[in-house]
Amino acid sequence: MREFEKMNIGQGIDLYVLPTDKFKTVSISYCFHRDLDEYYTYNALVPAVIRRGCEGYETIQDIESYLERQYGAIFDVGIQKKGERHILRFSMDIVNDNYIPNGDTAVVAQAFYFLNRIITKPVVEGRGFKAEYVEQEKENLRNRIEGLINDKMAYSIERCIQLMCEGEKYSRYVYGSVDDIDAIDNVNLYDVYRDILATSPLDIFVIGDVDSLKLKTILENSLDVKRGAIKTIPETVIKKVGIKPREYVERMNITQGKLNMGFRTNILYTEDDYYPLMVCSSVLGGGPHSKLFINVREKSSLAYYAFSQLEKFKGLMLVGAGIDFDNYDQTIKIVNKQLEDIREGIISDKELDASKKSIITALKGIKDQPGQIIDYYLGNVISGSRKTIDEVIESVNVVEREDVARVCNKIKLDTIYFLRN
Amino acid sequence: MSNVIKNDILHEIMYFKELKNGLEIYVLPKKGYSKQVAIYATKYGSNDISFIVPGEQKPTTVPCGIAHFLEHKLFEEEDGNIFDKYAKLGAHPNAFTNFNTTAYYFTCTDNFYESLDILVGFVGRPYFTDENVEKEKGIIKQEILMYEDDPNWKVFFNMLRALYKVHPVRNDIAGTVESIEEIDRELLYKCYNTFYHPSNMVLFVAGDVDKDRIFEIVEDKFDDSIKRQSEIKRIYPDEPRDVVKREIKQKMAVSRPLFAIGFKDTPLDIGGKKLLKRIIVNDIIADMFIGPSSNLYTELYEEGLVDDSFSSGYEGEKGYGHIVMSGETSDVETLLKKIKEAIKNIDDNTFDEERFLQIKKKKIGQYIRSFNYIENIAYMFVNFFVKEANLFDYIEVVEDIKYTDIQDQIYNIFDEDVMVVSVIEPLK
Repeated sequence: MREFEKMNIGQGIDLYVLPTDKFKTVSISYCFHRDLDEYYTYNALVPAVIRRGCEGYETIQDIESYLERQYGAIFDVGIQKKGERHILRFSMDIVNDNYIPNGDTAVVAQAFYFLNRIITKPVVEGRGFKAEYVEQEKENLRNRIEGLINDKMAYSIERCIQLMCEGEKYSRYVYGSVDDIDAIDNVNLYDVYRDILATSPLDIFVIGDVDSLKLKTILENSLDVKRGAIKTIPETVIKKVGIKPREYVERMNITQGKLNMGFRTNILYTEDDYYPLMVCSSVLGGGPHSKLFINVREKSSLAYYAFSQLEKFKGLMLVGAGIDFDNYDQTIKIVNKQLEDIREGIISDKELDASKKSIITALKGIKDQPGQIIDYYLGNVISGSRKTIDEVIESVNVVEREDVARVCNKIKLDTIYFLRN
Repeated sequence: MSNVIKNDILHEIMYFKELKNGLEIYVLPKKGYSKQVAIYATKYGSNDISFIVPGEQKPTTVPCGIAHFLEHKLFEEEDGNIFDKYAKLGAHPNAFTNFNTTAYYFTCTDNFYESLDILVGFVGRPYFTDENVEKEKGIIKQEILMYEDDPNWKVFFNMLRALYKVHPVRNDIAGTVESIEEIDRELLYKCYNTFYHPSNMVLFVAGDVDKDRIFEIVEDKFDDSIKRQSEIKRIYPDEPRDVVKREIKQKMAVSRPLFAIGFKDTPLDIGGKKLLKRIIVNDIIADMFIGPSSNLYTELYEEGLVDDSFSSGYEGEKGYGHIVMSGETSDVETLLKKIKEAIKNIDDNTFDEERFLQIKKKKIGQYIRSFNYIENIAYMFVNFFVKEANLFDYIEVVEDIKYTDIQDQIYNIFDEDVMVVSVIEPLK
């Protein structure tokens, strides 16, 4: 795969273009970086208000009709949490001109002008956003935050992280806190938004059948965001010392218990130890080849799902399983036993090999999905890594059993969380 | 020799071959892709609980959830499980069961042909023992319990139970904790032998692959003596148009009510392009009526009755079909009132021709976009195949849909007599 061409277009804006005819679409993402600071609920509310309309397309209906006429272009504004950072992301995915049946053209160029209008010309009244939109979206945001309990697996993972990272910025839920909502109004939200536009580092990613120089011109002509002094985003704090494991039990009217165990890996994404760590998490619970799948599911029939996953920017590893309420102790015992085994290097050739291969297959697969490619490189921008996907594959390939055992010794249990009836 | 099917708008081609035993094989080359996908599917799902085994006279009826149980068990082999073999190759295997399909698939980036060989091998080699069948019940029970706690799943299946009186689509795909207890080794073999014959199956591959090698590998996996199977008679009771009940409610640990509103279509015994057309026509109707560019959606959104958790669309197979509108709301009663009013007030302006053309454009764009993702292509292929349609039929069918097709169906489907409401209410 070719790599992104990076072009600095000034004012803290970097443009990344990957010209390829592999895909039938052109994918565009404008990513504004924010610290996950006390304004996080404001950040989370912004996308919903922005999606309501802009000059020329003043309602959702206007926007949707426009997108339908553009052959079902996909447009979204969203918020993502990456470590202790919020990414406000405007994205569009348009069917490339040469696939359009009746020879309509310039759909791609129009997308940049549309996105600029969305970003820079929201519907305003007085000194703020349109108040009606803000009030409605405050209510929607409240529902969204409270609605997390509707998905028990997602809820239990989130709660485990919140309890584990209490007092740290990372405990902040990506969609904000209901406690902050009342204080937000159309004027203070608009102030925050203008500050986001003016001071956030901005990365723009484009993948598709485009010419990078032409694209740069289109972008420079279309984009008129008012920029100021660009902020530096503080590094994510990875807590390293003095952990005493804590246990939490929460009760809810449910039929299956959700067990989550949160660990501190004490390893940064940019450290060389991160590659053995990836293998370690995979050996533990990265799929049907893993120790958890075999010992929790296949041998003991305790669970349908049992997994381990990494939060790469915050140095966390999370283990999860859906189990009967009575099997709490037994399951924890099995998980701990697997970790002890890994620490002692009890990892078969088969397990090591399967884990590495599984990771490599997933890494190679990134190249087939524009959204994943953008996500990967956005991750690099955030972490300061410059490694290409192929270089990561190389690093995973050379991981040895001893490396996995060594990094597993750095992993410390922090929090056990159990959702039960 | 294989046949070629082309689609000039998509710029895609597909190679096709049918073996003597009836197995159909399709290959869609994707130059420059890192991943490959192979999916091996049988036209057998949770709906097939009553049928006549070819060569027998009397119907067989089996417990609910058996197709899904089989899906779990086929991964097990006499000398271990199939995950091990795939793990060695770095391939990611998986499977799913729905109402009318059981599909086994893998994605990989290396060792594709070995992985393919394993796929066709293990699906063709059942190994069920009393012990391994019993062990699986614990795992499947946890899977069922996981769905029991999933309000989005419950609201949808409750809706089906309110819509359908006799059709097995009203049953849970995985069965119940009780029904899976009735499953044993003999029943599994009986269903396997009936539904896993090559002539009831299809194999589809997408990726940067060599089609001839694929045809060769698959052909070699079968004994020449295997003959085509005669027809499996599937017994689906005649489903009437009217519904079981208008309303179905359940309380769960949720933050606010979840709803699924269903409109039952006239059950039609059609397949192929006709079925595809019916599905798309109804999808367009749902979109025009309450999709994101409609007046109704705008009104409901602005009044806080729906938010972006809302979605609508049509699901249809041979013998049944329904429009679904679902999401979360804070006020089910008002939402229903508004939707019912909108139905009463339907006139030619609700469904104007300009929006009809606009939504057709959207449908075509979405379909073209889905060819970016090879897993997506594979799921779509199987979905179309089970409907007896071809993956490439879509654009042609959309373009053929006339405004009058829409007008005819609006009043048929939006009828309060065939409307049901399923609600999950918060406990407190």
